[in-house]
Amino acid sequence: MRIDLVGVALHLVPPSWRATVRQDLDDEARAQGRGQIWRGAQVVRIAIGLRWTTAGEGAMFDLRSAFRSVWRARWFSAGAAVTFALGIGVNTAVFSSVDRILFRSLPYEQPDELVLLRRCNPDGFCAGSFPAAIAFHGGRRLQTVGEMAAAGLSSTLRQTQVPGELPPLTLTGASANLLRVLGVRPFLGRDVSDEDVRERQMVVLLSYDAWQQRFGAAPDVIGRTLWSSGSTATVIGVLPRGFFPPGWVSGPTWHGLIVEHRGWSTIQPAGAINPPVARLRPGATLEAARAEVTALAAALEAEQTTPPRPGTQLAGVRVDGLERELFSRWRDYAWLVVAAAGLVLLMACANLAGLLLARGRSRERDAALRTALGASAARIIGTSIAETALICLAGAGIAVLVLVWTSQAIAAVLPPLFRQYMTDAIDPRVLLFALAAAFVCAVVAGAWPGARAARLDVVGVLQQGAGRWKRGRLRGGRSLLALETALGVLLVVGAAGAVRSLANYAGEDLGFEPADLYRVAAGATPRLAPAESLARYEQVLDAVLAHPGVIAVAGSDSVVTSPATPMRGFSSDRTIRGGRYEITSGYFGAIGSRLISGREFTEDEVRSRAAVGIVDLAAVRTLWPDRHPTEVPGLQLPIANESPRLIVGVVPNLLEYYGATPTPSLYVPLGADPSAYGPLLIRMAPGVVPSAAALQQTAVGIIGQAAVTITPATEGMDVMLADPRFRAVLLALFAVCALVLAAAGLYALASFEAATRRSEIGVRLALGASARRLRRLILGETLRPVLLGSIVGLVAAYWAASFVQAFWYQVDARDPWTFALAAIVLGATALVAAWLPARRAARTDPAIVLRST
Amino acid sequence: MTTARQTLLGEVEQLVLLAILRLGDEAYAVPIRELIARDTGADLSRGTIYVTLERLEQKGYVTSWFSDPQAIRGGKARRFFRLKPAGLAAVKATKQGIDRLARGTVVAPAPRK
Repeated sequence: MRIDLVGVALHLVPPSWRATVRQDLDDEARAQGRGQIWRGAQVVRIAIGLRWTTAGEGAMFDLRSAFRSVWRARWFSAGAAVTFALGIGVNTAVFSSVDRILFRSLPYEQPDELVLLRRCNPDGFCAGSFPAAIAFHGGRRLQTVGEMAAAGLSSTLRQTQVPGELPPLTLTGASANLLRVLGVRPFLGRDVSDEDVRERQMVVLLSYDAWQQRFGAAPDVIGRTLWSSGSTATVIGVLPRGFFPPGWVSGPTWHGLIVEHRGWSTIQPAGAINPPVARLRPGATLEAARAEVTALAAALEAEQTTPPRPGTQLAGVRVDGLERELFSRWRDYAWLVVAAAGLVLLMACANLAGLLLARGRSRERDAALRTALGASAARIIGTSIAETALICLAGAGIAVLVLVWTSQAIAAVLPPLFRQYMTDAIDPRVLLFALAAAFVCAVVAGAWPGARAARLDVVGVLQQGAGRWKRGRLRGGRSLLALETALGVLLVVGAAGAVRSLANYAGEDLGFEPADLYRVAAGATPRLAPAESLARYEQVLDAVLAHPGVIAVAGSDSVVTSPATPMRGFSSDRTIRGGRYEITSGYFGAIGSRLISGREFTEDEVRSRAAVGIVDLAAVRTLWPDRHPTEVPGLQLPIANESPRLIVGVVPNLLEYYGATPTPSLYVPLGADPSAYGPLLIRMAPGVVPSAAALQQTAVGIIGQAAVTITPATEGMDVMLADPRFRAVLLALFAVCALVLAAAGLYALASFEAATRRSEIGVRLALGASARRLRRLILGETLRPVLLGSIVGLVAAYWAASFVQAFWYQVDARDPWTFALAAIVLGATALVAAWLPARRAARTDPAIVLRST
Repeated sequence: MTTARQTLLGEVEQLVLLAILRLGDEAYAVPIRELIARDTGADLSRGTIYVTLERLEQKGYVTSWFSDPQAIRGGKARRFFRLKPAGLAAVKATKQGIDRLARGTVVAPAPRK
């Protein structure tokens, strides 16, 4: 079967030229003796030439048209651009915050083979310390997991010998093998060598950004010396761009890694390190690694001869995939934030489309004229999209500018992890995202108005002239408004849930009063014999109590209100795990707790380390489930490896953080060998802040050289509220954006609704209709889509409830009161937005209107 | 006499109009392209010729018509082009303008003897 190649190719040529091109090519081919293939190829070349030139010219013409149209209605366009900027600004800000967490993989070799080892309590809260013994022995005794590496606490070093000349460098302590385990090679210079380890040379690997900004990207930075108090370190390399150490990194400024051969990043036989990372050996699975590490921890625990020090307990050790765990806490709700922001963007697009539809009068005349002159539907739609694109790009430009100016403010309210890994507003990825979002929205928002314009009754529009509009044109605007309302309801319901969750968190009874409570810790102190240290400790307590503003003082061997609570068995039943705390007398009064029954320890009991104890409600429920708390004082509690203790009091559960599951706790008099003074808890008079200098003097006077740090108890609590607070603020912000967008859209629709019916209103007024009736008429028309949208939105919120339930705290995601509240808020906003145009319309002078029609 | 503001012809437009003038009643796309290539050395693509012809027709400088079908089996009507008075005036004005500009320079046409 012969295929007419030329005939097929001719379909690429514009219709008006097809016959001419065919004839001319036939002549030429005949004259030159050319065949079908040559002719077909020439047809294709001609078609490309013709289309390209006409399309290119057409595109330029359409772009100029679009510019003119936007400029003609510049105030409208500016307003539309600003409301659109709201939607796109929110999304670009969200993208820059979550990009690293959601869309980029970790900057390590084969990150899915890396695991993170931590020590966690049953609530899933993980400690900042890890028993070094596991890392030390693990290299030899584990088959599934390779060598472990840790990144530790920060050190500060100076670029110059003279302090204060230049801002200090913040470096993270790392074990010598960190880069090797992560599979990362320095961008410049070399990794830590065995010789560095042998000679215990302190070496530094600078971050790429620090090398650029602080050392001017100089290649001779290798070999430079850095100074800290009493020692020097040598720069041996520069880390690759985008690298950051896994795990616990404090603060957003980070200048590199330092290998100090001491401290929390050194793999050693005893003591505590930061949670280490390791690589699974080839063929090993995560489950096998978990089982093996748990078994090793149990074996090492059995080999222990002395009770473990704080931070080195072997219970609760677990192994998790690094990639998942590094951002796991935030990944799910990062997606929630992205989804909510997406809803806002969708609303902004619907808003823009609605505005363009409603505004279309002069645009429709243009479109009708162009259609009459031969423009295709594709070109009309293209012009509409071009016009929308100009508005969207302007909006994106405004949004990016605002973001750049407010990036500091935004970073300040973000939770620490988002802030840590936030991408710059002027990063190419973020700019590209803003541009792409603007284009997608331009197509989405511009296509429908364009399609409507292309399907116009040309003769009708051109004949009608100015002032006569078809009612049907607003139908599209109303549907979009219904869509906007539905999305707005979703966001308001979400915000209500988040805000109520935050209120539930913040209102939780912690069992003590963190306001005006401070933790005072003294740094490393000389070791003393137990009796001597207790006497000194009591001296410190008395001296601190004498300070002005101090109402009460208490001491313990650990900090009850800090998140990393030691978990030790305290009853003879070794299966019961709970907290055991050694405290001074008056402890519960000082921290603002109360006794449910019984009494506190006396000073004699503390001094003589009497065999007494106080338990909390969770312990009562575990140990004596049939007893009322008031019946417990006077009972004996058998304890493993100790004589039984007489219970003298019952206290409420002290929660370490909001949402914590209460752990059974036993309080005993302070007296075990404190190798360092435990932190004091001091209660100040309301509003009074303790003086660090005064307390330092007191400490130095009694216990010699000591660095005193004071932390408010609320600080730890605040950290725990950071996530729910962030969620509440963010979703509330989105809800406000949604309300603003919906109000703007409704205002525009109501205005144009009133303008469409101007002559009708004029006639009604002339015939005696009251202004109130006319207002009700306009409002009724405009609020109908709002009603429909609200119903759809509530149904959608009901369906979406199962996805968001995990994020709410003691709030039912399907709570009818929340839904009712959302509907009322949307309804009220709609009423307010539509009121003004309706009122204006009802004030029309019928004489003027009737004269002009 | 030229008008105060005259639209100058583009380079390719000039060549095509001159070629149509030279070819008289036999001006269609193929010989127009061949003539320009022969006399100026410029090998314009077929697409360029067609686009220029369309633009000239839109500007009112040329007109086109379809001849009777060729007297051969499967012969089709051919599209011919002819200069309109506006086109002739335009190409004359452009040519004269260039000559005036070149007066007294090395590129000025040699005076007729």
